[in-house]
Amino acid sequence: MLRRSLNVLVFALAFVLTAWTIRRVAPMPDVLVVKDKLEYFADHKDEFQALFCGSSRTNSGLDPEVFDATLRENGITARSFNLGVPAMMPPEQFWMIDEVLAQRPRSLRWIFIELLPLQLHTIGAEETSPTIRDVYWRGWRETAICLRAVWHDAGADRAKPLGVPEGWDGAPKELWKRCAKVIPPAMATWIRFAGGAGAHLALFARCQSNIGLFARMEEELGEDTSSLETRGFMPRSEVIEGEALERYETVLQKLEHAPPLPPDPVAARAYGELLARVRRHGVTPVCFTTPTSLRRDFYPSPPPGEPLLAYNDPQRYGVLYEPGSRRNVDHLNKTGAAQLTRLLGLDFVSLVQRNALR
Amino acid sequence: MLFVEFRFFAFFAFVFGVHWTLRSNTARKAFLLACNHAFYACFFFGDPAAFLAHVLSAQWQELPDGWWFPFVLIASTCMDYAVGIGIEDSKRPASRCAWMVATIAVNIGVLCYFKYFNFFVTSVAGFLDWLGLPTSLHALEIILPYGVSFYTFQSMSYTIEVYRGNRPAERSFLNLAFFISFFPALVAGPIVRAIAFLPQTHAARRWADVDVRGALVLFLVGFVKKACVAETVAPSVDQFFAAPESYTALSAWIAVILYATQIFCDFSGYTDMAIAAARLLGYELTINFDFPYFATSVTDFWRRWHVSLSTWLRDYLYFSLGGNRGSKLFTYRNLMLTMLLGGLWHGANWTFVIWGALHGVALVVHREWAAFRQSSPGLTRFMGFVCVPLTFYWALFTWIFFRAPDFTSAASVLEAFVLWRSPGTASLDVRLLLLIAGCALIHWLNFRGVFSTWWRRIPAPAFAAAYGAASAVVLLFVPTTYKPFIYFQF
Repeated sequence: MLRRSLNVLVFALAFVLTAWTIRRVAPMPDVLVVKDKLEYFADHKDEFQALFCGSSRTNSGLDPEVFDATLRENGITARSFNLGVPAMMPPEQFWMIDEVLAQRPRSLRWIFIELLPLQLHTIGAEETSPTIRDVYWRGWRETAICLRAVWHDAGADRAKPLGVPEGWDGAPKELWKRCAKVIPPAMATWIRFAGGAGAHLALFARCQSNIGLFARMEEELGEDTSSLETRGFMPRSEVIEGEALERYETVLQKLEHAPPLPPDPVAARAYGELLARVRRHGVTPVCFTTPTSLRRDFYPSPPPGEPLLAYNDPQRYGVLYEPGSRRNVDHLNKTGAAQLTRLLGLDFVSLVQRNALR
Repeated sequence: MLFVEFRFFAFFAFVFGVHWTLRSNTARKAFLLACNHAFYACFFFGDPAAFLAHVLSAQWQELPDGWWFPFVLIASTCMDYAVGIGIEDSKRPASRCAWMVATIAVNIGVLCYFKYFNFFVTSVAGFLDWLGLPTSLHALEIILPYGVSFYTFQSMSYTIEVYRGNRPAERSFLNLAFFISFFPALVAGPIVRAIAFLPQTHAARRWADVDVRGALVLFLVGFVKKACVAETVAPSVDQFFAAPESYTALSAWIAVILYATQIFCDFSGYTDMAIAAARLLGYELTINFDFPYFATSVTDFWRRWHVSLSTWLRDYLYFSLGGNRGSKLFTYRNLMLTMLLGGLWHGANWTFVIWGALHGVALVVHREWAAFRQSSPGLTRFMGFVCVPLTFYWALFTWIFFRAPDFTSAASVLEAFVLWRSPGTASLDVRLLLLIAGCALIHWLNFRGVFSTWWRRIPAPAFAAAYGAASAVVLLFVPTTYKPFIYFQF
């Protein structure tokens, strides 16, 4: 029995070690935009002093050339690159920043980090058939954030009865609801946690065992938005109009009266840890928010004491919310991008001149 | 639940653990029987929680299509149990024959309804239409239950053997139900014979008798064949056969070779995993493949390809028709009938019938040729060099009919494959041939016995380490989504 158990242990060890080694030496999987941008940055890593990291709002909202020109006008010489990727939210965003820092870029001085809510599954990814985009970034650190978020949500819902699994109708639903009422809150928290944690651990295992690294994989974001010739910036010339414009105006009206979202301590802690890591590499993080019209409090609060360049206030930054500046409800077009970049550049210069950056 | 999916590994780990923990043979078989039916139900019930909810609230219309198919398997088992005992207990030959005819009629009837009803209706309607006669025949919306062709043949083998007096009727319902529904072989074979499997159910399986190392290696080999090779070439094959006329003749060759690789790796990979899974539970299944692409003749090919089906057809159909006990013409008629029905077994389409007919013709020609060759030793020596490539070419030729969705497509592929003529300009990636060449080389080395035993001689910890490392490497080439096994559709 002991010998058999030892053999099983040897098998497991060999499996883990081999998978770990392959992960270290194998090329990154073909993740659209992400791979292109990381490879481009690796080839030009010592050319840039500033990076913008965030979602599609950053990708099509910040023009490095405009930013560099704004800084130059104010006596700061810098060359920037837009690392924004459509649908990139934390923890994937954290992975991207860590990858960039791991390349040890010598000239890099500032990383502009778009504060974003935690998104535990990449948009569009189905849990039953995970895409490469939902898998490739799941390391220990990122999975720990996912598990923390799942645990927090499970505990936050303690007062509510346990949810009914999708597809349950009829008698067992009622039975389940009745059972759920008598389940102690602590156990309910664990049940909720187990459901969510299992999915994230499975994705972690999939990532760490390199499943399908050299095989065909499904890809969600078919559009190539790598835009390396414009230094990662994806200029979009469309202007919001028609039904989309009407919807946008309605959304803007509702924005002011939306009830506040509860604060997210998991996201705040994760951002705090990220900023500390960035500083350890001798780089200064700068937090910013983009002019979304989803909600004012869509973005999590920055860690205490961190300056924030926030542009998500329609009253203060009305020019960014003009229909002529927008491509759709949530994104800026080329005109809006130029305005946002200039505003960000000027505010950043002000921070530097006031010595307000840590 | 495919053998290459993570949930199968979880399922199998549970089955394996509980099976070997249980002490009594009856408890083990009862447990495995429950697992067999749970495994089979997974193909039809969808989400078990939702299924149960709909059943308890009597929302029958909400249940997934074909949810009742598992009950066909149960009904088939009950019938064969009763028929086996009925045959054995009958004193008069006429009543034995009546039992036999009844069970064959029901089993074939089930198969005909699910598999061939629409084929028959559309063929008759097409024929009447061709004659210019009005027709009101309509095809029905029939779903083919997974594995029906396999378990029907398995249960028929039991009743035929009892009828022929080759084995006694099985008095234990548990044993018979376990045999018919044994999950590794349930949905895509190999077609296990009652005479080979039922005796295994009588004695308790002993862990000490299990060839763990052999089973693990076989499973990994099967996994590589299916998940890495068959899945890698499948998209190119699908792409080609969707519009064969738009590809060059070279691409037609590449596509047909890729398909030959795909179908072999898909089906033999499944079989390897099925045999390995059964072996880990202490049971032996029938061998199904024996290097068919190294066959020296079409007759030899059928001794090596889907052996469990070809021997079933030989023993229960060809011999029942009279075999080769009559005139030459009578023998050839039996051969053709057997192969035509063998082709039809694979699917309700005329392309499968033609595929079977071509193999039937080839078997007849080979018999004649073998007789002629005996009188010419020089010719025998010459044929020794060309027989393998010639047989492989013939296998490729016939696979065109097997894979093509209709005769128009088949004709386009044939023109390019045989005459090197094609109006198309698109081409498949020639580098795929390198992959195939690599696989062929490994396959040939295996055929020569290079890999047969060395891994048995290394110490257990070294084997465990190598197996762990190999598994990690294999996973690199596994796509995240799978197609069902090709033979599931049969």
